Amino acid sequence: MGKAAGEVRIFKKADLFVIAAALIAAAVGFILVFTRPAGEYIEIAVDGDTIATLPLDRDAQYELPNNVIAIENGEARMEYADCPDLICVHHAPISRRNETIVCLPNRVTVTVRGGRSDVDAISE
Amino acid sequence: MSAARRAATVGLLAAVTLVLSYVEHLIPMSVAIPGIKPGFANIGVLVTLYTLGGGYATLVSLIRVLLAGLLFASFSGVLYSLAGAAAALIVMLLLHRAKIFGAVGVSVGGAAAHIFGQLAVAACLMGGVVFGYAPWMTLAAIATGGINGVIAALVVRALPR
Repeated sequence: MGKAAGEVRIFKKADLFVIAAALIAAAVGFILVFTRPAGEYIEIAVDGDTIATLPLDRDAQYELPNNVIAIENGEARMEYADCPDLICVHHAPISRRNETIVCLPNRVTVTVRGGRSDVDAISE
Repeated sequence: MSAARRAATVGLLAAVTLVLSYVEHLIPMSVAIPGIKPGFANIGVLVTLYTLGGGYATLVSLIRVLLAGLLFASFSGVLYSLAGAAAALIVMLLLHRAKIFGAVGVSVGGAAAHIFGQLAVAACLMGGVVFGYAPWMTLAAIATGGINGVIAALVVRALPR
């Protein structure tokens, strides 16, 4: 199969740079994700358009044609989705600002909004 | 390699890649972290890249995305798949051409690019909030990309020259 077939190396030193770059990208992402303050309400959006906002401090259920979103104990989660992969249903509950659950097949997103800085802005 | 043999080899590799896509659809993936896939199909693309070159790897990747989309996914699924595959392919071709990276480096780079290609499309459809998934997916890409790179290199070595 040509000379290329003989030259394949599983690992070269430079591969460490690729792995290190990916690790750094992930670490920066985790820092951004885990330093988020607690949020106050969730925004439910379909195709990027917000269709509902619900406060996180009151237990509630919100029904869409293909999804059901539940708020319990200050956390929001996807209770039901009619898609086959159910990635969003298995996603851990969210409560921090800008945390989000995405249902790709139905193009539904649930995002936590509000939080300390927003509150400060309102109270001042 | 004769033109006929090359055509047959491309067809074979495209078929294997499609089967790997199908196998991936059959495996129930980790429920803890959303959006994570093993990316087995990339083994087929990598083997093509190392045996027949970048042009044929592009062809095999395109055939896989279109056929897998037709067989197992929806239209928006094809869109995500196409964006991921295109980003992965570009990065893998560049890393391969640089000649200083092994199969693991090329594969991990492709896996990471695949994530950002898909997230870019998701961000266009749903807004920037989707990037909350990125760190988990990037970590997974290092593991799955590394494993797939090792498998691809071993397959290429085992193939008759």
